[in-house]
Amino acid sequence: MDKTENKEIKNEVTPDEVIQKANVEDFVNELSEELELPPDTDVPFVPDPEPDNPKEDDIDDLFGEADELNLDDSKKDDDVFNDDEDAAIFEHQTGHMDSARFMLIQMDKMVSFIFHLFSGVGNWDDYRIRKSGSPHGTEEDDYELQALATLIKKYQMTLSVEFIFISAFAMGYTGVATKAFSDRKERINNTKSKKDQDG
Amino acid sequence: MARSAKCTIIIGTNNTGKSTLTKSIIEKASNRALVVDYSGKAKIWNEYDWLHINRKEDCKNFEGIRRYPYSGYEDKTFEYIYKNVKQATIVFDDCANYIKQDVKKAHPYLKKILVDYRHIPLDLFFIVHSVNDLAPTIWGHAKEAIIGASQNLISGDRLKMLEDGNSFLNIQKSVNKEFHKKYKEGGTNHYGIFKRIKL
Repeated sequence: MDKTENKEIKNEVTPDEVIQKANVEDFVNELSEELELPPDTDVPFVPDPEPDNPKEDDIDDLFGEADELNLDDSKKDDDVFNDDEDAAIFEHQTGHMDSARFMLIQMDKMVSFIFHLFSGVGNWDDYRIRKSGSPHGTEEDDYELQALATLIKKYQMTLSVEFIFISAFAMGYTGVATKAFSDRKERINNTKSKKDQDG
Repeated sequence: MARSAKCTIIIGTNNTGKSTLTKSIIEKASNRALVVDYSGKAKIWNEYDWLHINRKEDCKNFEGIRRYPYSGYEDKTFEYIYKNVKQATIVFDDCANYIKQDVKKAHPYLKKILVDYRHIPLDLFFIVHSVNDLAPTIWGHAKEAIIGASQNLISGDRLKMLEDGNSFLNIQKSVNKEFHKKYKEGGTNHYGIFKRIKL
């Protein structure tokens, strides 16, 4: 059937005709009755201050809604962390610390490896700052670790065992990868110089 | 007399008129309806304004039919609907495009909507092309279906979930037969053939 013809049909028919043909008049009548309201439907949610992905036309509204959000200009920065609710986010648990520790070690290895490739001297782990534990002495003073643990809690990041294994396995080979490259280079040079001597 | 909220599935392949039927039903029966489609580009809903589902006040006060694309906030769409929209009809148009089969894992707030729709209360419509497009969890919560012609007959887990699966299957077969008969005859009579069944 021609699609244009079909569009015209859709526009021509009235809702009553559509409902009658589908034989759902009873259904429509039932839906037209009032909904039964429960005694208390107002569930206390924490309101979102702003959309996660604001659209372009939402930007003005976001600024305009400052009053609705009860933003208090008089609130000083020093007061921010006195609020129990705000402070709660800086509390994290052992699991978050474990994940943060693991992630920082892997990131430390990766950054060191990149710096080694950049400089081209020394060993791949010369630039590691966490080779022998926290660079700040105790973990309490290790702000990177504390902040990452807090972020893990905030975004409810959970590291799967698969991810931990694969990343640990891959990063474990980072050091020998550079050795393999240099060995290969040396072998090629040796072969070349041997050929030159034979020639 | 007040009634309980409904969860309804509307099934039909292209050119059966499922969206037209849904539009007719909500135009006749609902004072407040929100239509969610994937991209917001479905022509049939173009005439209606957006409802900014992240704004609680807008959701509280809107009247008539409004729409919002799932692609705007993606999975947060369900969260905003659950938290902000009450006493309304929600239409999930062509929902196979954005509702995954594992609702519990992929869409936790849709799961909450399904659990609580009678208490919020929300009338729910899920529009799909075929029985297999809809997640089993939704089948488990749906109380009614309006069946149009579709390619696949109900089978497997979905069939087992229904109290009277054989009736559903027979209705599907008869609707398909009638649709194909009218389609072969030509004209427009194949359009709008549906049958309603309580699940």
